[in-house]
Amino acid sequence: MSAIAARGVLASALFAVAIAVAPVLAADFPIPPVPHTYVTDGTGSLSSATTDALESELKSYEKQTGNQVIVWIGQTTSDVPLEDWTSTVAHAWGIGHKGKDDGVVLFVFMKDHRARIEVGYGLEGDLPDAKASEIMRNVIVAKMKSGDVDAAVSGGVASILTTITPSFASNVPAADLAASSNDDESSPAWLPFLIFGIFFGVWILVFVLRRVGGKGTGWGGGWIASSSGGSDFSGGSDFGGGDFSAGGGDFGGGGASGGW
Amino acid sequence: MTRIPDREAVSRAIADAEAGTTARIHVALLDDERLDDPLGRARTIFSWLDRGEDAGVLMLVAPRARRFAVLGDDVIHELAGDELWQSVTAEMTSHFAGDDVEGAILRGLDVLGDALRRHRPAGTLPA
Repeated sequence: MSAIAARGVLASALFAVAIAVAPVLAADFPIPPVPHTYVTDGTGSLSSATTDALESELKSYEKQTGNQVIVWIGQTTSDVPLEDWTSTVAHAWGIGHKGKDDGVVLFVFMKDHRARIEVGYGLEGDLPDAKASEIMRNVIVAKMKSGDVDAAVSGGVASILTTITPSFASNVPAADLAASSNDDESSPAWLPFLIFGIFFGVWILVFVLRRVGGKGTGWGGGWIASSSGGSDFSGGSDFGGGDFSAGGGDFGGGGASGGW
Repeated sequence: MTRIPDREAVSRAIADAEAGTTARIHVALLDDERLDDPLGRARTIFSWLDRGEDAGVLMLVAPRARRFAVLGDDVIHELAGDELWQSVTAEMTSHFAGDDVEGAILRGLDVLGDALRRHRPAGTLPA
């Protein structure tokens, strides 16, 4: 029941901002409708399990932090340059809260094989272009190249959330999230410190394990090798190497783009 | 644990396999822990590859999931047929059984290269 109410609030907030902004906007391509959900996949590329999990994760994230992070998957920007398309649309939609500009949109274009993280001014400090580029290259593009759209999008979102809000436990099972949000009002003052402590501990543990593990652990995201020159997949030392372009920042803050 | 295949070694083996044939070969290594439909995934990746003007083969290997697939386009399939895919996967399986992922890839590329040189030697006109 509260889920429906929360969605309604999001939708109406988006609409209000969109109506305020839209007339000012002079886009020479059609702006897609303002999303009603945190995850919009017009291409059917995401599994419904991933869509549902992301939807509830992003909802609880906004509830906890006030930051609005959404995912929008389409086919193509046609002949409009990627950065022009995404910054115009993100602005037209008015993602985030008015005045704060605290929104992030992860755009993915399946037919174009391109993606972009559009970051509002209000979050530029927490999610600078360099960091967005890193997420784009190491998580999203890497996973897209291996054909795993679900992992690309959910991994990208998890990285975005924990970058902006290091204390956000993105892997907490839904049941735990529900339990902790139920007693929001009565949360003891030390709870944030405990959560921070746990997160910090895990972070150190991961760091230590990585050092100890050295070269032998993990597959490093995999790779695609070919010998032929000229192909996107040849050469380079890691996934997503050659065809990556860092974000523009000409409109609405910045972000990162990548292709696969 | 299984040794991670060396990308450089694989790239060199691809170049060797492509020598004397106009066909193009790609190898995709995935880190997935589970892969229920390796051939389906190979098709997805295949559709993303820039194959240029000539025929292509994609070898997909997911060591952690212990799955692999070899996929060729219509041109090669018509020339070499099921027989080629069967022999490549059989050769690879014996290496995989010994947890030798790199060996499996290199052996598979070897078999592919021989077959492609026979069916699609350099100098033939595109079909």
